[in-house]
Amino acid sequence: MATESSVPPNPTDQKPQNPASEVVQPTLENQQDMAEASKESSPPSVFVNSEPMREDQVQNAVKFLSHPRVRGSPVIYRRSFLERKGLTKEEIDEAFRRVPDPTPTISNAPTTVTNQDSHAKSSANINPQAPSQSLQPAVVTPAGVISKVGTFSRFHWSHALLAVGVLAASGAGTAVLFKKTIIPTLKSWIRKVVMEEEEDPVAKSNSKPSLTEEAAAAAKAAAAAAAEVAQASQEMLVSKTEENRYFKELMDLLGVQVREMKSMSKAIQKLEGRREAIVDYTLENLFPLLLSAKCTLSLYISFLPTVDNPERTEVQFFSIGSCKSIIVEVVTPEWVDYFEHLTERNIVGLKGSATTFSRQSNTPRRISIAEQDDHRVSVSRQSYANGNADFDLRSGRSSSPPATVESSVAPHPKSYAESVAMVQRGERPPNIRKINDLPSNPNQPVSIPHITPRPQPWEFGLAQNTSNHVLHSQESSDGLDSIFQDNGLGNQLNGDSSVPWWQRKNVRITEIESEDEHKTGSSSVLTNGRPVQRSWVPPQPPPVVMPEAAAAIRQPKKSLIQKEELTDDQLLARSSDITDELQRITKISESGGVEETNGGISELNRNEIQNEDNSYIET
Amino acid sequence: MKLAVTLLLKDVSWSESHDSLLIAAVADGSIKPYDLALPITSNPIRSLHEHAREIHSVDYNTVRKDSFLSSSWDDTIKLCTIDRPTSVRTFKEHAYCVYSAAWNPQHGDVFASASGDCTARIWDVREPGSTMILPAHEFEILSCDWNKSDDCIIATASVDKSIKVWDVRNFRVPIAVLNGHGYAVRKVKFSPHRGSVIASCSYDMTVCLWDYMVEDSLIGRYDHHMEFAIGVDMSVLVEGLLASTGWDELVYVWQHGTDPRAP
Repeated sequence: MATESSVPPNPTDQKPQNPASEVVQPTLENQQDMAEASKESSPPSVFVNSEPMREDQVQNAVKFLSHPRVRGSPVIYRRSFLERKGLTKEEIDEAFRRVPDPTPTISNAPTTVTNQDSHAKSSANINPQAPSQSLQPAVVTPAGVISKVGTFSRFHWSHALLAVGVLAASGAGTAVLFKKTIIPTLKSWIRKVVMEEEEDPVAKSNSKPSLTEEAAAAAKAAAAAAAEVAQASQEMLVSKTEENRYFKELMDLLGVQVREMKSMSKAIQKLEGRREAIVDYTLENLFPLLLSAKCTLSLYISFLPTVDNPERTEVQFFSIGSCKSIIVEVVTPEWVDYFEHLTERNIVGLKGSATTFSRQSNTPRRISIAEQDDHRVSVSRQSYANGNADFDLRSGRSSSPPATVESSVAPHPKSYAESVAMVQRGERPPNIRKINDLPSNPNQPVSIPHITPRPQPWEFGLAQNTSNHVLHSQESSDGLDSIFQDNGLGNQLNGDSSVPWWQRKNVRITEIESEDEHKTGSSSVLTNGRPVQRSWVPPQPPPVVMPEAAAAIRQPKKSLIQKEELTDDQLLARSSDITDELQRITKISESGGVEETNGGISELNRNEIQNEDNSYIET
Repeated sequence: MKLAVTLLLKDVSWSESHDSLLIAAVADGSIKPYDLALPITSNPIRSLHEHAREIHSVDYNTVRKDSFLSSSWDDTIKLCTIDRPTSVRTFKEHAYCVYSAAWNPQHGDVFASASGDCTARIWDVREPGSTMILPAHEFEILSCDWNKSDDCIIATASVDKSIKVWDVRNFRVPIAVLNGHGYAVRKVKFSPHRGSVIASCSYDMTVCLWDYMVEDSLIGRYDHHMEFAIGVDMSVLVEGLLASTGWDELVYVWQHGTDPRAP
């Protein structure tokens, strides 16, 4: 803001020297012209607003700035607002000048203020302020508000302020009154009520209670009873639905169990044939437990088929109270399969959120199935062995089994929210590397460029214009041919890699050349003594003024499609050859190819132009 | 060659004088020029950390070729050169983030800036402040660019989904208003080859090509991106070659008239 406020003073400092602000610009322009003769063409810089100051805009700005609310806002917002409204800098500065800095007094200046100039205005403002100040001695706060007003000139504003003040005063008065008078009455009333209440219980037991009280009591009791009834019925409903759900779950479980049992038995047969009976037995154990698990509070299955089974398999389903979690620790692949199957079908089936499991053999994994309070079951599984199976664990979980196997890959953060939390705490989420991007050598010199800079397409024409005015008249296609020969380039536009592209550039140059004749007033900056005075073959030129060329270009689309069969090899060859060609061309042009490229390739026909278009697609 | 930076790179600008030098604008407010000809360990060659907030764009001077502008969310624009460790000038006039600055292609001392305070300003480095203020839009202006062939024409792209083309000699009324994007237009670029052709990319995931001299200005629309399209550029060397990038982490390079997704 400091710099911001310093900016307006700069132009305003200049202003005292030049009474009219319009003179400022021409003055500067004169300096410019002297400094860089070739910089501007005959009119001064077009990038300067040379409109005269609009008085009406300034007036509006003054009114805006005089508004009390605006006065309270930072200067930069006021400037920004005025700028957005389309005021020029000079107008804004003038408005700022006209609106004096906030004065501590009120102003009731009449409308004559608007007709006066800035000096008279400020004096007129001060005069009415004194008498109007005496108008409101009593009210403190309204005076405070009005003191901010400053240089109001409208009569009705002070009226409005007066009204505001009066309202505030009345409000304050009523508040005071209220406090003083009404509150005591309230208090006494309350006290009376309390006294009555104390008397009431006594009175009730002895004397006949009033009808209303009785009715009220009865109503209350009825309401309470109704509420209770409603609650009870609701609970019953809930429990009924729960029961239904559980029954369904159980049915599903049972069904799957039957199937699984069979597959299990087969699996176990593979392992140890004679263990079948045991497995079956243990599986059968499941059933009564499941059957009895009508309620979530007591679902406990312990499942330990470890008889002579080297792979210890332990399955524990337990749900305790509200932190229901079912942890399955699986060791063997087959068991894994089973439990995957189980969980996917059974437990997950209850909720329907399936997760995909990446199968790892012989990797102890934890399949954690969390049951939420609302009896929803979700399966989440962490497998770090391959470092990529990462599921968001519900935040409501109470148990989060640690990964029994940590992989060497940096574990990904659990969720975006956790990453953000980590960053906020100042930690770095694990999957972000710390990279040192500071320069190792602050004084490292920049390498020497290999390619000399070339002019932009729009520049090239201008450079040619100014630096080659004399040569402009030369028209020779010989030059072009010689260039071709020197480079050993043929005249084939289609097959050869970089020739056509290069050629085309020449074509473009000439087009620009003729175009520049029509152009007016575009100054060239390349005469600043840049080393880049390369009138070398530039890339592509700006819009073509030549009608036939323009037409040719506009044909594009159909010819584009035709030429798309060029192979990628050609493209690659082209691109790689381009830099070489550029350098060679550079040398040639420097040596004197300038004049040659200047002239009349205007005779080059449309075909070339079209072909250029075509090959551009492929490039 | 991969260059690693700790923070988000918001913009990159190739040097006009060096074939291997590029300026990167970093989200922490620093400008880091990288020299690709040097080994990766000596990159970046400098770090100019003067901006207080993110630098939204850098632009290299195509005329003078030795200086560049960085426009930042701290409301300032800084003019820097490679050989100086500090900035040459700071332009502080905008009331809100400066989203982009663009040098005039013909006048090496004139540039335009687009800002979130809904104005575009034209500056002259020889002047202490801005020379023109264009209240171009009612909403934030995200990008501006000069017409490469007519040095008085400037295009501004704004959150109000439109692109307006202005002539600075008559800046009260735009020459053309190009509507057609569904969301804020993030970037505009004039074609180096055809003076009235503008390429723009927008948060509606499309890249559009306009010709404001033509009756119905929209001459091309590509919706190949799956996410916000945030960068677009037109090749200086090959006419009609467009490149665009977006939040879908893809960069497409294609010729106008073809399908960007074609291999």
